[in-house]
Amino acid sequence: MRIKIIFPILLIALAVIALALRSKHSAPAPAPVAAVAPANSSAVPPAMVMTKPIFSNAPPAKPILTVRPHIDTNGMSAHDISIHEEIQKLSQLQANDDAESLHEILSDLTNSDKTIRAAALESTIQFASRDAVPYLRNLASSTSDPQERTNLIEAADYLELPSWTEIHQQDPNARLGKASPLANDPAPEQ
Amino acid sequence: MKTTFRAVSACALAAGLFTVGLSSAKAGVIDNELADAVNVKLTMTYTGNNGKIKKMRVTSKDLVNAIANDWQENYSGDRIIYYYGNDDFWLVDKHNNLILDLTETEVLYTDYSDTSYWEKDGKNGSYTFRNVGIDWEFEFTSYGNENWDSSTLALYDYNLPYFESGFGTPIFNGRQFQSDSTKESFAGYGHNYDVSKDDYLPCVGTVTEIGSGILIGL
Repeated sequence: MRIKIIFPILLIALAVIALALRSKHSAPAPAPVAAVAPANSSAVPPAMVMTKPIFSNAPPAKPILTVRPHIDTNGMSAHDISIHEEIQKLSQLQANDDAESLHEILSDLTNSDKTIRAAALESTIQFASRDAVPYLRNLASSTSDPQERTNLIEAADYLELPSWTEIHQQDPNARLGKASPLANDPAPEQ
Repeated sequence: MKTTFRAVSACALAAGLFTVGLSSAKAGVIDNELADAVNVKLTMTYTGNNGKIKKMRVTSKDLVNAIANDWQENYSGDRIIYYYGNDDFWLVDKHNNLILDLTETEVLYTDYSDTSYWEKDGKNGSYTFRNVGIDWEFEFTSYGNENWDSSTLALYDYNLPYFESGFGTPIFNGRQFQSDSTKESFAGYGHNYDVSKDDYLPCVGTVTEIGSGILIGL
């Protein structure tokens, strides 16, 4: 009688232990919510989803923000627009007469973008200061592109010519006929 | 292409969307109209009193200085633009304020005619265009056309070939980025009172107009 009681108890106890061990080794079932996609899944742009870096020593991933442009560029990148803005800035700087503006223009002669370099050269010419000549010649000597080198040298040669303003300032009364037009002979011979 | 920009402006005005006064602070746009910077790069040649050939350069800054000289005004730092607001050349200051209408005062006049024109229109008002044409007349007189002889600096050429190109991005939220550039070869004459009174002097070089910016309310 005692065996009839003890044996089933032992069997039940073993069964409980076996179930406990089995549940320890098996993974829990995935949560049901994970299997169901949210109705408005597009509300969160994929770019906003943070992912764990593959390598533990990798820098923490920066949140990628989706910045909506002010205009639909349709193939025109923000870089393209920034080029145009830089060219516009150059066209304003060229009207100035201060050294800072010239320095800013000259710094764009070594810009990585060829279009900006060309615009900077045009602005250097329009700035119309002979102070730019040594820089242009120096840059030409270190420029590998033959066409750009030629353009730099031609710009330097052009700036070395006397300007209308310089000639006029030497004899501002010439217009009034108070001086012989060719008396000063200000321009160097070519 | 000037007519295209005019058409866009007219449509915007008719739709009541045109917002004068909301001008962009960016260069290239004044009162929501494109403004092209005018870059003159010319070489004027003359004979010195010793019989040798001499040259001088004439840039946009010289044109501004000549205007200032003849109009007895201080236009230092100002620049010449082509303004699509009224299709005239203007003198503008550093803050993009329109100072002097150079076309109205007959200081600077051109007569562009696109003889061969190509344009491709895209979605939402986007476009690309290229054209070649003839500028039938280019005339600069620092004191106005009526005062050619007494203008300190004058330039004249006719039948100048020119090339123009530009584009506009699709209009998005009423905004559009527009760009325009024109280049013409100058091979005419001018006079410089300082060296030759009213004699005509050979003058060669280029005149370019370039501008871009974001227009709103389209």
